[in-house]
Amino acid sequence: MEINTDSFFKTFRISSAGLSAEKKQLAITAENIANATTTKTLDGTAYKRKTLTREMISRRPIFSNNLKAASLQLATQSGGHMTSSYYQEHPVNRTGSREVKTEVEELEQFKRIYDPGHPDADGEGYVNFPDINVVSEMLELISASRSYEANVTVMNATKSLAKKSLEI
Amino acid sequence: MVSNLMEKTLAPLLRKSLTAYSTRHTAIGENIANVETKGFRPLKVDFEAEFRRALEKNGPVGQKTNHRHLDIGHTVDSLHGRIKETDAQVNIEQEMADLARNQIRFDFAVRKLRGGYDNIKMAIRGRVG
Repeated sequence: MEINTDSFFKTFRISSAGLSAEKKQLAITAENIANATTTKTLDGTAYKRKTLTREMISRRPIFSNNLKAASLQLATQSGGHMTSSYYQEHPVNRTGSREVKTEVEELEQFKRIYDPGHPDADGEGYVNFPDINVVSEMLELISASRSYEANVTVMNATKSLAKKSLEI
Repeated sequence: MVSNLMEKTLAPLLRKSLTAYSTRHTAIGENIANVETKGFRPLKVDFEAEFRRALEKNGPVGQKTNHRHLDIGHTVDSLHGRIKETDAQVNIEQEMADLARNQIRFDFAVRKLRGGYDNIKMAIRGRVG
């Protein structure tokens, strides 16, 4: 049977990466909500709203490398034959590389509210509050937890496919 | 002899479709994991169109007498089911529906393949069970 079990394990890896990204998103959103009114953090400013950005970085396969690797791929007919070292170092890469970069960004943006009695008020009586909208954070929270569930569903589906293929 | 017997059944076709379904499953998994990823282009495996062309058997088809021969025309052997990038946005509902459909198709192919093997087993024993 040529079912690629490697492909199932790859799916597990992808789904778990998705799960951890959603978990990170949940943690960041929770932090934002918990600090919606924090006016002073360790560095002296108000709490800065955090966002998680996920960006795809894809590199196209380099044709000349692939051509070299493919043309230097010598056939070995006996176990004693040596393999071409170039091919071992640079295997043919048809798809290029695709990776996702996740980054936590802090937004340098504050809401200025007039409150002269506040201990963190500046000379003009204004206080810097974090620029956080609790309602939109709640939305973010729901969306992240739904995405988490979607990844769990994929994980379960992968499990059932892998088990099913053992029944052949 | 037995391998010849297997080649005459649906087994090669089912084998190809199982491989394509598991590839598609990986693609769907990747799409769902990257719902929120900027710059991500959803992946798609369009196996059915290729499959249909192979079944219609239009045009000349080259017979292969050596595994190193190249494919001529659409045959079962030339089916691949490759992952392609599309330019659309990830639609989570669509992906979940595709996931369910793909899973059912996989189950179907497994059951069909197993049925084929069971029939051969029955023929070898000469009795049911």
